[in-house]
Amino acid sequence: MSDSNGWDQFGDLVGGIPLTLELTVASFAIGAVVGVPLVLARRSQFRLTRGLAVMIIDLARGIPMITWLFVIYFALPQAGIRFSQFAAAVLGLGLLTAAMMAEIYRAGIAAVPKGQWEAGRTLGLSERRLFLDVAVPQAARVAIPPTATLLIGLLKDTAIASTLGVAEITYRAQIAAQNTYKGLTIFALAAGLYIVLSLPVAALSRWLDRWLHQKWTVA
Amino acid sequence: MKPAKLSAVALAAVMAAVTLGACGSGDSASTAGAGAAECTPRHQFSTVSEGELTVALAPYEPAAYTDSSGNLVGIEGELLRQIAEWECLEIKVLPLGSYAATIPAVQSGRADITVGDIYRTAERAAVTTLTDPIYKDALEIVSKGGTVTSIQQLVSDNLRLGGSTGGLWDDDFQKLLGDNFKLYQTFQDAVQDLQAGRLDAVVMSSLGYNALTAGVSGVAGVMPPADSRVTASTAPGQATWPTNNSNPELTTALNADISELRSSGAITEALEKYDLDPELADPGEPNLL
Amino acid sequence: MGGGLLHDWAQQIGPLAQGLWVSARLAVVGLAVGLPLGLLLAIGVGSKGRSLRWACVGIVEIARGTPMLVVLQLVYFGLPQVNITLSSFVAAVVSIAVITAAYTSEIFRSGLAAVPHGQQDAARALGLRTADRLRYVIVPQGIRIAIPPLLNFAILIFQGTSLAFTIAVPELMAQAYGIGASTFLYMQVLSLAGLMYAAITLPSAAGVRLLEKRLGRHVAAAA
Repeated sequence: MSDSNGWDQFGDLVGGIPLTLELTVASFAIGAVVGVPLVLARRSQFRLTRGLAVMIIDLARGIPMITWLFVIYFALPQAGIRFSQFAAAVLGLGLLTAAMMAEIYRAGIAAVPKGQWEAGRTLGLSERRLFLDVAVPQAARVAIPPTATLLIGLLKDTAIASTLGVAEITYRAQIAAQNTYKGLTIFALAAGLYIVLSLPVAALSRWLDRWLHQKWTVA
Repeated sequence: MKPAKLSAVALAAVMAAVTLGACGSGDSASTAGAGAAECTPRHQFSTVSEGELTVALAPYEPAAYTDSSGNLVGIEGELLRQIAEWECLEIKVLPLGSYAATIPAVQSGRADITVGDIYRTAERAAVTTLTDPIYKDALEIVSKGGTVTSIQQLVSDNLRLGGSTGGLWDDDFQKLLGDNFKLYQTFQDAVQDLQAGRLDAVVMSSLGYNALTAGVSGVAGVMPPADSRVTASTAPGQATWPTNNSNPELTTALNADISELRSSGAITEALEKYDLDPELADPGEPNLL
Repeated sequence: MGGGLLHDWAQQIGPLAQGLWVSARLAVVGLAVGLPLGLLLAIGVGSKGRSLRWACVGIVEIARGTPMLVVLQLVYFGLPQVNITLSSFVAAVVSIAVITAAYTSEIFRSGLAAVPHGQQDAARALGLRTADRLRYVIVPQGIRIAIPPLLNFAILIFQGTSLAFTIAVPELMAQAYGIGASTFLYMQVLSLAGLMYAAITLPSAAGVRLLEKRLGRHVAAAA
């Protein structure tokens, strides 16, 4: 039993930052990438593909992450697939992120005025050029704020990985709180860390938003 | 609406399939022990990973936790280290966030064993295999100044009691005290509320109480007289190590080793090392609460 | 084994259903308090007054950046140190309201910003004061645009109530862990709990999609 005032554990908490960041970046990378085929399937002409995509998105967002992590880490080994604790956490969070990014992409594309598509086709642009050069830039503007929100949320959602024993910030905070009984100070310190980590993303997003707003506002 | 209905059905199917799979026991059959030429294991059994005893751990001082170098320590930690030596195994700690994860780890074959003052109960014995009792642990009622001394007092004075999930006595107290009984994630949280005035008393194990006094002042624990309304007060809880149902050889080996540790006085020593009553080393006949 | 699972679930569903009811109440009350606050914050963030704007942005960023788990702990275990002792349920509602206000302020802001500028100009041309402009023209349209993302957020908050068990609220997750601890049937009870969350979130998500289509039709017709 240690006899500290909680601040001594700060070093322990800081040691969890790399894992927290790794979890966030890895999950976001998977989500941003997997979200693309997912949104394309979602917008497909084929009913079956659309239905399948909707099902995946709904399931990913509708089932609590703790259940997903348990399924991935404990149940999959029954089918012969074993993941490490870190991998299981990244996969679970990545799945959720992919579903949410797919919806963000979808809203972004939908926000492009119909007139743009029509004008582009009239001008003879191929579907591909139309998509990449006309739609995507305009969709990006609408998609950036929700993506920033998602990223900030994801940073904190990585706390769920503590249930699988990944030694990120929250896991360390829980252990420290148990050992020193200064749970409040420790959790407040942990909160401070998460806030500090999220500020750059939030600031960048607001700046980016203002810049794009100036660029894209039609008189 | 069709995609949503499809999702619901698919979800149910996935869940059922997965938990049905989880119902079954773990697998794996690597033979342990014979690694180093000089070491002959005392018993023959297999482990999840050859040459290693994988211990799923949700840290719980003083029963089982890790030191700064990651070694398994604590009462059960010390005992397991001795056993590992006898069986020519290296201890591999699988750190997890809570019992909610360590038990499935054993059930799904990711770990051989889990630790941490886990009590023997009939319900638990059905889904995992429990070793013989290692030591006993009683129920303590902790209050400011130790003024709450019996279960009857809790009832007659309409007192508010707190406990942590996983306590053997939870169901009994829930029935007895109704809304006056509140469950917390850890007993440390309950103690915090005791100090904030939201609770009049906290129920915990004597091991937990031992861990508690080092960090908190103004509270004292009392072992209440036996009360038939709370079974755990009539018979002490017995700490055990759950193992996977498909590995009875491991349990047999562990039981033999536990017996040896007891007769050599190692259990008493371990208890004393962590400032606990050496009498706890003799839990009596194995019982299932 | 199959029969065993259903048997287990049949025994677990009673207490879990009680927990589900608590989770639902938490979500509804928390949202009812948080949403109006979110709207106010959104208006504050967009205001011309510098100190008001900065104060609102500050509140939003701090609340958005703090994990829900920590907000819960701070409100329940921390406030008593300044003599504010809330019950578990109330503390959970306050935490949810704070998080809701912060996150939805961004959603409202996007919604308000998406109202065509022509509407602002027309309202000014008609001589409406700022307060009336907001009240009768901008806010109603902004809210309508914001409804689908708000509903999606509500679904996430409902799932977020699962963290309230850390401050001793007997909601669904708390019940699940309690049953798991005594029976060791963690996988079974956690998957049943997952199914119960899904039973609420899946139809809700489908409902939001339907709503989006209807609202979209309105916008397309107007355009």
